[in-house]
Amino acid sequence: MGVKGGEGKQMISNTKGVKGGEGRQMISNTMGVKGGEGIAILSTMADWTCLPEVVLGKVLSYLEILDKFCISKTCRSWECAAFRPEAWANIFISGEKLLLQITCNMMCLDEMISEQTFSSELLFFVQKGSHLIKNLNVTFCRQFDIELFKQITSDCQNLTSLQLSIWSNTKEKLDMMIHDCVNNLFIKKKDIKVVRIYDVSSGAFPKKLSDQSPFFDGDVIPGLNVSKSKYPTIPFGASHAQHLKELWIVNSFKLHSLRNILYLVNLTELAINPQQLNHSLLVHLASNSLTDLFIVANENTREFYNEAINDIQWKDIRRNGPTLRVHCYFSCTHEWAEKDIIFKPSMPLASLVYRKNVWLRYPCFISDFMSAYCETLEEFVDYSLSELTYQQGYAKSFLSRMDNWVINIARNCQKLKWLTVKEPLSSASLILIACLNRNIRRFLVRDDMIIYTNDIPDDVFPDEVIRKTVSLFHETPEKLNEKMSEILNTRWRPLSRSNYFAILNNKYKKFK
Amino acid sequence: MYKKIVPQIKLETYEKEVFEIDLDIAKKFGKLVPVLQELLNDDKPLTIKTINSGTLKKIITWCTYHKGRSPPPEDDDNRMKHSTEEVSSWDDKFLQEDGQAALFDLISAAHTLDIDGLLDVACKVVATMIKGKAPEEIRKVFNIKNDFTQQEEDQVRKENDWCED
Repeated sequence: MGVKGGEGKQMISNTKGVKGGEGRQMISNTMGVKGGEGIAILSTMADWTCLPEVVLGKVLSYLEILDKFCISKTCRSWECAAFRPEAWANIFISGEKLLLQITCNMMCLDEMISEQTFSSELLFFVQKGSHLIKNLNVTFCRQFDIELFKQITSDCQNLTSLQLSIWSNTKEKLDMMIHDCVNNLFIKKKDIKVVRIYDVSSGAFPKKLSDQSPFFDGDVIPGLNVSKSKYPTIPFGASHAQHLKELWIVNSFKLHSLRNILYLVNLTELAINPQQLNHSLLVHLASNSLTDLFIVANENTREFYNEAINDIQWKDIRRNGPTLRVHCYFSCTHEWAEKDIIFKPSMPLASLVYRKNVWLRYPCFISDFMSAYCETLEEFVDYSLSELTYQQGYAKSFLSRMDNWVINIARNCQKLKWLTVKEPLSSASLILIACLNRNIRRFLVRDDMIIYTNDIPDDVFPDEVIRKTVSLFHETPEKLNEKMSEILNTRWRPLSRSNYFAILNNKYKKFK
Repeated sequence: MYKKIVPQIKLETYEKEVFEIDLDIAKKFGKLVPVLQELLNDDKPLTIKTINSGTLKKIITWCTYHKGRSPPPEDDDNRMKHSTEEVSSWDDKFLQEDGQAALFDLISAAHTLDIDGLLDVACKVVATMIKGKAPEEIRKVFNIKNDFTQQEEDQVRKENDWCED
């Protein structure tokens, strides 16, 4: 073995060729951060300023802008690290938090400086780093500092993904300023890949049906000249076509015409409101590269009573884009006519997520309707934040509960992976559902929503074997857990109330 | 009786203490991966002068603890996640129990040896120590000297004057 003396020996001595030599170099280089032999590192008082910049950059990547700013003010070497690309790659800003922190930090800064000096320094800092940002994620809350947002978006050369969540009821003026910033950004940024704007604030779609024209005024046919509209168009268009892959404009650009979306031929994911659904738009996008369409309605999406796309039109869309999947996310407390949107058998519905205080309307049709989506439905989630909706119908007989509908959906939709419903189910029904559909991966059930009984009528069972399984294992939680885990090939357990909501709210937090 | 032979490599620390490390743990050391085969065949330990025995012991403990536990799947949400919340309480305690100097050594060693998971989690712990603190507080916590001169600070401020209306 080629053990060489001297320096080589203490390092990697028995390496062959260039590769090994390189490795040795690397190791000895990194160790000598300060003080040749690397002894400095072993001092009892660690000198944090000599932490490699890459590492410090990593630390900084976990911190918010204000923390980065404070770091840059501590010493020279940390100031350098504060502008490492990795420290800025992902920026998350939440308006409320930032302001709160600013005021707190103002109090304990090195010396008393005026608020104005402080914010101008902060803006300067942001300006210096903004070109390093790759993913920007901003949550607008009360009193968000629009100047900061302007500064961040003014020089985002490297931005590839932008996410805006607008939570509180922002003033109209702020709304416009946000849109201005976004507009300016997209005029400059042609190669952005992901844009997700999700607005929960009020500020409505046009009231009357006749006002729905802004989304598509006039017949729009791609390639043909479109007559001038009195409404502004959304700031994405032909120049973004090459790169833009994901576009969410939920409750935003309400008074803008959407016709420019027609240019986005590389779009794979689109999230819009029910009001913005349009047959020719979807035919066009689906025949290009659109694979996932999200139809989203939340608390502040105005009630909507209109058949956006009829069944024949869905057939047409499907023919043009056989791989298109539709995801419907409805969360609002009031009832409205979403039946006009979802109950279309030809729609390639992949997920229906329903977070309302009521059970889906027209319960007697539900299993039929859902079964129409047997080829596509992967996710059927119906939950509510209101405890009341979980109490209804508790412990009634089999036929007056929803068990049979859920059993039917599970039986017919063999692609189903996620399943959860508000209604209580019996332990027997749970086993039966698992037996009928072994593809279900996540069958979320609250532990207080299980009735340990077997009141399933005989004619519901498909065969003798399953009936025997059900009657053997439905009696106790232990038996149920064991059997369900075995059938579904996973560690199945009923969830506590808090766990149940934690999992669901986390999964659907983007569509709150 | 047979004794199951676990392939091991030898590392020598700053204190010239030799450690025998199981191969599946050594595989976690990114920097050593290209030379592992040679190290296996060699009886002489590899000396890494920048790492002391205490730190190496901790690294081995950490790797052993996390051996069976696979990292959480990188889905869309995780990729975008920046928060420091996901540090498990075990990790948090383990990394902080020996004080700051030890944590510093651990980070340097994790960086030197290129142990991704350990470096991530240690950086998160440091980030938590910085969070929400003013510059002066950060200096205190990490024993950092302010090497900006007053003049410079004024200068920087002057340069930024234009930002103000």
